[in-house]
Amino acid sequence: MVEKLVASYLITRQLPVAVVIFVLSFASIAFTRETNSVATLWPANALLLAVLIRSARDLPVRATMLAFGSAALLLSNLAAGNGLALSAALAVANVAEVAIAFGVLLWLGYGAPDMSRPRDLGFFIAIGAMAAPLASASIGAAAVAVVISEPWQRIWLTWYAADALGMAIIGPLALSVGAKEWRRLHLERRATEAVVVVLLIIIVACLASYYRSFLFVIAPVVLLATFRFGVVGAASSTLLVALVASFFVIKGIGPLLLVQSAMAERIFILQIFLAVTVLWSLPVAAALAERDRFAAQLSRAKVRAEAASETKSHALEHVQKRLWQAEEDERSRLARELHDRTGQSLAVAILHLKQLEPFVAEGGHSSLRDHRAQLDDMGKTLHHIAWELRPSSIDELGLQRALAEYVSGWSEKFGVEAELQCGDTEIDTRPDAVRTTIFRVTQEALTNIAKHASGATAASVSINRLGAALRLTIEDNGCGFDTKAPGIRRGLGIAGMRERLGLVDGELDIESTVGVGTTLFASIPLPGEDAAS
Amino acid sequence: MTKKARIVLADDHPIFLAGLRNLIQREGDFEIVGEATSGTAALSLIREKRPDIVALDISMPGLNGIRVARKLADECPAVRILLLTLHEDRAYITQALQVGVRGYVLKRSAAGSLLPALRAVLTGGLYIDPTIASNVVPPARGHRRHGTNATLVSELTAREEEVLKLTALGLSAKEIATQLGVGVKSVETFKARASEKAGLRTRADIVRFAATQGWLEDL
Repeated sequence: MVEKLVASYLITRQLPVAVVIFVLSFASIAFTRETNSVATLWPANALLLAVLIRSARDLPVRATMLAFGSAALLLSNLAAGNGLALSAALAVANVAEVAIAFGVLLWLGYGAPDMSRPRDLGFFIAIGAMAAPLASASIGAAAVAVVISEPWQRIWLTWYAADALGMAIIGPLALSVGAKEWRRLHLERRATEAVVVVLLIIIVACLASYYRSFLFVIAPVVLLATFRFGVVGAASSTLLVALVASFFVIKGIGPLLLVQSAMAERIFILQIFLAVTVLWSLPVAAALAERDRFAAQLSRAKVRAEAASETKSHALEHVQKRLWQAEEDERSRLARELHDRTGQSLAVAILHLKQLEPFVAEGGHSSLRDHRAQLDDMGKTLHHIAWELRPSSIDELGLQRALAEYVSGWSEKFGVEAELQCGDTEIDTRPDAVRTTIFRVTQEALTNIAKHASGATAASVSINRLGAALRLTIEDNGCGFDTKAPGIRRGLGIAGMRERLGLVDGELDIESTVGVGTTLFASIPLPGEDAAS
Repeated sequence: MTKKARIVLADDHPIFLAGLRNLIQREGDFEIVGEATSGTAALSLIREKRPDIVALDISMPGLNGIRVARKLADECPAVRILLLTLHEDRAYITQALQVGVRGYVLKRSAAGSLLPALRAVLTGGLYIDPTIASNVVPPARGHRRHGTNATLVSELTAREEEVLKLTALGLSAKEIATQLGVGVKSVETFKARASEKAGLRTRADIVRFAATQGWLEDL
């Protein structure tokens, strides 16, 4: 069973990769033949490294992959006509590079680098593209120098440059294709755009081969690819430029790079150009990806924070409502207690004092009367306190009557003509909270008029049905105020009225004109009512 | 000696009731024919005994004193009613007088005022507890103008009439402006001009005026 699984994995995954490595290696060797032992870049190692990194984290799997890769490299050399000894040495040099890069990355904790993260990219470039090729170039140059009569320094340099460039361009590309960042590009929806960008790069690269000035246009085009397609865009556009330029260099067309120089030097300059391109475009891509990640994190955090604060403010509103309701209940209870129980007891005590009279000598009568007067006074105070807490008339006689009497009492007390108009015939069947709110808001508004609306000679309180809401309007013809002036609302107890109205989902609006007067509009929605009724 | 006045007492507080009984019994000109501790009991007792006068508490279980008084005004108009209560809110007094109550005495002044009050009411008078009598004097309303409105309606423009109508419904200038598609300033101008023409000073005047015009009925 297990053997079968392993076998199928080998056939479906590793064998095709080995074939690709064989083809790439063979093509690259053929290319070096064309250019007199110089290749622009060596892609096979980078591909093998990428496959190792992305394969299952399982030693046998990776070991077989490395073995397959070695075999492909050896066979491609043999196929290209190299002797067995040389082929073996070159294969060892390349596999050593891959193994060293992978081992060091693993050891440093970057065994699965994400090319869209600047830090991961940095380590990959430093170790895979800069350090590891040192080893393979040394082994390879020594082996080649034995066969070809060239100075080993030149061979080393060519080898190193090609391997480093291959790692820097193919590595990130191979690691990014199909990864998380790749899926985020949504290439399936952007095929047209991708094709346009690819064509643009090819055109610019071709033009640069004929007209030297176009060399500078490559940078913005690669930047465009980077901005639009991230790491994949940066690496693949550089690769495209490398392929096009290599083709022209080999064919000897155009003055891409100093035509009069030797082939090796021309290719070396091309390599430097490509290295610089990939070394600025990849970090830019990674930085952009990082920025997008932070932005996404920020917006997620913002959404969470908003949701949290909304829940909080809902909870707060709920608590506030409960608090006000509890306060109103408590006031009402206290008022009843004071008025009905204590008031009653007081009345009884006064009666008893009166009944004592016949049993007290004539001289004590005035003292008894004083006591009665004092208790009477207490009763008056009690009544006043209870009334302030909650007028029992709201419940016993109805809001309209209680309010009308309050308004006319206020009118007499402050000498301001005032009257109540109630257009809602069902006012006394409205919920308790609504009735209490109307009474309290009216009370507060009239107190405000007495306190602040200097010069007021008339005030009116109206209650109307307005659609599915009750509209309470309180108007005066006093001095008025600037509704836009800062701080004025708090000063006039308006915040308090708003909060109280908020308990019954009501709203408050104020219109005031200096010298003309002020009007308060309070709206209280009536649950279960529709506008038509 | 004249015939004793027959009286019924109703109060849900037994100790206070006992105190009242004590107070009244010492006088020679009253005869207590019944006592009740709830509104409903008081009503049936009065229907049965047909007393000359009743002293009713307002806050009682069952029917409250004012509702008992209202029923009595229909059923036994000859029975004179005096309310004996803790409530000194003017709302209660006004309401009581409207349902035909002839005497209104606070419990805490019952010791001194109840007997004079009963006698005053029995002889056809009206007795309001002196401590709250000042609350009951109806406010002077002479300053209110009446009657000139109707003739002026025809002078109002359609816009002025519309603004006045919406104002009477309780809409703010801002809301009226939105509804009519004009500026807030214009609404204020229309309102001021219309009020001037119709002789209306306050919002209450406007509402009353709207009601007399029948504007509030087609809602």
